[in-house]
Amino acid sequence: MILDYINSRIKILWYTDPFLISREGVIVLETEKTFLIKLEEKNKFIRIFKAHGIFEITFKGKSFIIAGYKLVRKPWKRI
Amino acid sequence: MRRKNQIKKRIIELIELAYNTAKSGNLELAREYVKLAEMYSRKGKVEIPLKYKRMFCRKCYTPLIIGVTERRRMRSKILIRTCLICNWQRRYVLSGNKRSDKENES
Repeated sequence: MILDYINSRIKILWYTDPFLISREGVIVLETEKTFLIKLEEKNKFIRIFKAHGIFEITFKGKSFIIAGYKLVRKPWKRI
Repeated sequence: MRRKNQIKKRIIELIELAYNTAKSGNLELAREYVKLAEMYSRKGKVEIPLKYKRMFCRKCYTPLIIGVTERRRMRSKILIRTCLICNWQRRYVLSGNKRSDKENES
């Protein structure tokens, strides 16, 4: 059971804004509709909408590809 | 039961993460982690262990670090902990109670 994705690695495979495609980083905070990501490249923070993209997430050694709209939910409602 | 253990594990992880984040100076983010842990505890009906419950302010959810966000004073065998962000206070009587032993451990 995964409650939230804080501290997991994320790679953006597809996003509505092409500038963000293929960027990698660590999820710092998860809200109902967004991820706050710390990018590897410049120590920069970005906030992205879950519903607007497809992501590859590595959480505790397991890697999977998931469409973002499936993650749109408050973390404590996954209990 | 297994599910509750997993939730408890995640709560502890989040509170420790919040503590380390607050140490590095990002109090806002630390507060968000503690709020999330608190919500897991409420919705999953899981009790936060006493050691971890005392690591943050119950009013503003800031992790309490002595000298940075917390002040500790002793007044006639009563320990007074004050949050320096919101001035929340908590008093612990340290006169041979079982609870006081736990407090000394944490």
